[in-house]
Amino acid sequence: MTYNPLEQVEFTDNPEPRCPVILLLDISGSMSGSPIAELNEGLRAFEQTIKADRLTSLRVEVAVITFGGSPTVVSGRGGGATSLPFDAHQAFVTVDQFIAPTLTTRGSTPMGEAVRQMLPLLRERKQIYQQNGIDYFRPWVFMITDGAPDSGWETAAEQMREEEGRNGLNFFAVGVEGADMQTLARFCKRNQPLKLKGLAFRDLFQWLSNSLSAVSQSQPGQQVALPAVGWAQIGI
Amino acid sequence: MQTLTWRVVGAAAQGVSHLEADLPCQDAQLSRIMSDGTVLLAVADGAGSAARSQEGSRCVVEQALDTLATALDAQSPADEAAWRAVMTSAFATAHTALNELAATAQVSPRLFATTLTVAVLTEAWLVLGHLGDGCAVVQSADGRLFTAVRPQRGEYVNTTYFLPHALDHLELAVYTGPIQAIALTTDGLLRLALALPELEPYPRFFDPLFAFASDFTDQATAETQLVAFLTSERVSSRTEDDKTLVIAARPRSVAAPVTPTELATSTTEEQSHADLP
Repeated sequence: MTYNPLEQVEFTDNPEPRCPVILLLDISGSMSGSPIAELNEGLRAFEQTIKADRLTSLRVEVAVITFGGSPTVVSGRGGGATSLPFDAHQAFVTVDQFIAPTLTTRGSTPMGEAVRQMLPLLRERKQIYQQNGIDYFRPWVFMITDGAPDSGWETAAEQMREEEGRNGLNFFAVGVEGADMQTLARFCKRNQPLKLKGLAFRDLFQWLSNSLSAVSQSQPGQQVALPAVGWAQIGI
Repeated sequence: MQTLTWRVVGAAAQGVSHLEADLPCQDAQLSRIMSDGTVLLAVADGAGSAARSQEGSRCVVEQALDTLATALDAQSPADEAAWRAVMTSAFATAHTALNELAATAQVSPRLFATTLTVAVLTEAWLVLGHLGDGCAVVQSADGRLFTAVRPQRGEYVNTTYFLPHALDHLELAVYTGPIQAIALTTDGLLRLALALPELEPYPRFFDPLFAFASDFTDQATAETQLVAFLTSERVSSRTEDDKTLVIAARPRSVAAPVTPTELATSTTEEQSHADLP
């Protein structure tokens, strides 16, 4: 093959666009036993799957926030379930560094407080992207709960719906057996909350990472086709 | 009257992700050199999941250049306002053509959704019409590179505007002054050729590219080399999307003016970026 002058062309080294994901997880007392064990299994499966897809692993960033006792940002960098401040510089971890935390249960269900603290954290993360000239996809917030929130949740629900209404995030709520689905629905604007089949956390997290793969690759004008939801009960 | 000739070459190549998903190349590109030396260039990127967007992208590049050629044959625009009107009509007819395609097929026009970027180059003018996330990079006579129209984007990286439904987001840009070269591209090459966050053209991408376009002597060879570049492992490993380039450059044997010249620009932004979805 004769010399191609275009072999002289070189390329810029731009940072990949980020796909921020927040996992909001209920670790209240009622999750003790099988539920929390299965949730931890699901988180490990999530870690494996997001690492397996090239674009997902380059683009997704994860923050884990638990609520059961006070809302806590849990370190996604391993070391058990170390807690971190609600600081957008520290809370998000890239896939290559993400190690699924092992969660234990405690306390009641301060879901409202968790949401109230999560929203500014997400806004701060977007500002960090903007300040650093990093492109990003619409963030996903994925909440799992098995109960009803402690009192004082109403403003948080409204804030969540408003933020989704502004297209600031994509919110998915999942109720485990025993969850108060009606109250959960009050947090949702676009997607109705779904009820988990039994303790099928592995399937749930598999679905989440496949969905994030679809988003990470999506190009403008693409209706992101999410995979079929096999983990949810039909007719809540 | 001296007519400076241009060298023009263009190609569109299917992206790796399209190959894997069994999607055709949804990009299209077209160029035309008129008898008076005026150069017409167009690139279009069919929307990812719009089932017939490869027909949409081909339709709009053809329609836009047809409209421009007909209008310019009849009369050479005398001023900026006249140029804006001509470019606007090119987009209007492209928009209509998509709607007609859809009506004939009895399907929603959204199935043909596509971006579109168009350039007209004469000795005195560079006129651009732009909708979507492609872009145009210009090398002025003094060698300086600048982004003449920028990708239109919302807050999120996977959102932009398409014909036929977002015609009201059409952007126009008019430049005067000597230009050495111009490249139009769709978004597949953006992250390789422009430096974030300001989308500054990367000189080590564009200088060799424009040198290639200035120097080639055989059209068929140049096209083959451009296609080989777009489908090369170096490019495909860096972008999974369809990749398209159409380039016009003055031959380097023609002496360019020595004095750098200010280019006057004006853009119409139909809506502020705060309004983007």
